[in-house]
Amino acid sequence: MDLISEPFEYAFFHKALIAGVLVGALCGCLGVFVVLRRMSYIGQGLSQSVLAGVAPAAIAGIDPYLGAVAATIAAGLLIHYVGRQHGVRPDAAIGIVSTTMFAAGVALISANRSRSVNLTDLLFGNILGVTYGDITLVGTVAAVMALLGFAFYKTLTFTVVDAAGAAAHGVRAAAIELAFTVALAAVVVVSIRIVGVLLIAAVIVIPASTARLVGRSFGSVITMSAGLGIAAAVVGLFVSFHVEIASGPAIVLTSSGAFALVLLTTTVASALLVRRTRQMHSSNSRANLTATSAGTLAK
Amino acid sequence: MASPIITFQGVTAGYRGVPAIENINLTVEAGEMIGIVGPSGSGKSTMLRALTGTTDIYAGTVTLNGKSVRPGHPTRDIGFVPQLTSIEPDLPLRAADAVLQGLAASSRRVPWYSRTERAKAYSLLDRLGLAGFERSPIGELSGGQQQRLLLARAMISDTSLVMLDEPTSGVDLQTLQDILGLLAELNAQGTTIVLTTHDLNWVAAGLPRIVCINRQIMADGTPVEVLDPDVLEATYGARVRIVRDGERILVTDQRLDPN
Repeated sequence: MDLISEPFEYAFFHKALIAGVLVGALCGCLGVFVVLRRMSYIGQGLSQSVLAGVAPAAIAGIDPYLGAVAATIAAGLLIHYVGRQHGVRPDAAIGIVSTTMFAAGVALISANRSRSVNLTDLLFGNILGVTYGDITLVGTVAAVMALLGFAFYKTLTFTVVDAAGAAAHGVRAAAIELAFTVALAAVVVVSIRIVGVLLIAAVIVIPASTARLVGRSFGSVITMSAGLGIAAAVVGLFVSFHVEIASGPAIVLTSSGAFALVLLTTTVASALLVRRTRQMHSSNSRANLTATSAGTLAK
Repeated sequence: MASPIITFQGVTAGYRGVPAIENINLTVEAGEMIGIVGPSGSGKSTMLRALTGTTDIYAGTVTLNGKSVRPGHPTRDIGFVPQLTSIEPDLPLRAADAVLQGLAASSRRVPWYSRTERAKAYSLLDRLGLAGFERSPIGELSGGQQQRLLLARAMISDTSLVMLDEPTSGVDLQTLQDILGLLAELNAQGTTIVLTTHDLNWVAAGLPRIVCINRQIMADGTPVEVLDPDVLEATYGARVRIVRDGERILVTDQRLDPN
């Protein structure tokens, strides 16, 4: 029982749990659309681009978080624009924009060594140092996303399934795609403080991919993905507390464990189904053969 | 006297500054059923995309129901059936939900569809021979079933114009006949049908009107007028033989001509 109740004796754990649940749910929901649009690395790309905003903000002595917001949204818009140009695939656009912005950030930091930028928190996140201000910010973004998701669910899912068909049916598919990229940039920037640049792609992609293995409808996949994101955050935080490992990796490894388990289960279930079908057909064939032979002998 | 539902007036359109069709003049009256034929890259799909507002228009005017179509401003007056290959079958999407997506732009802004909308989707699936598949993921349907599903999606908004991009491509003979029968039935009820096709014999020859294009309109008329060796050679660059048997027309390879 202590395993469950002990972490709650610490105030930081309460805040970490709330932040983790919010980020898990947000990234889980949006991750479904990211995975289905085959843009799994957009989360990684957007988060890497953060450095291009954090570095100049730190050098100028303003809140690095404002720089992060500006850089992530700029990266989202650039990836959207470059990815729509003839001859540039979306995955290439992510690679080009994110590495360029990351390099620009590193170049600025290396040229201004006197100004300190806490790269450790940026790269790995610091869920245990989350403040109520951070929670308010994540909560606000989650509430806005929930409202937008509620209002535009039908047009967004249609755009993901068939953007050209959606446009032909009166959906402003290009505007929906742009708005989705900006929304994703907002979610990435508020999640970075919790899980860090290096692990953000995992919290976006893994729960959605796990849910995709078993879900048969958009609704079920989104619900499962959000649930898995929340569960990974909660379990990961408890593991982090008791095993004394960093919280970000603990959350991601929990999520990966769930993916591996579901993948194994679905693979075994599929193999068993194939085996059962083969056995059924083979016994039917034998029965037919026996009946035919019996008929021939009788003649 | 029927009124024009579609007009192309001197239209040049294409992608990224490269025209795919040039100086197209065409009028389609309400209630017509027409096929656009031509070789690959001739601009058949571009003509449809000019109507949906999803291609650049460099010159001329496209109107739909008397209103000018503006690129980048999708219209809600069309039921559109894309090529089957444009839909990824491996999606977590049930058949009924795929049909309901045809209402996405006009439905209430809530994540669910109303009981009336669902009943309409189920009824359309039933009408198109897909009863019992309502809750099946689209990936579990055959190519022909998916094509009918996309037709149901186009029909659900009760539009007076249905456009289909290669609806019979890659489907078996039975499905092809089913689709053509459904389109004829829909047309008889007053819906204007515009489709593109590569199939001159099974599809184009059976339509009341064919527009033959290769970047420009090469011929426009009944199959008897359009399916002519000279027109088809000018369009496709290949000499063909036309066999006429009463109303039926058969386009064959000229090398099969015994004379």
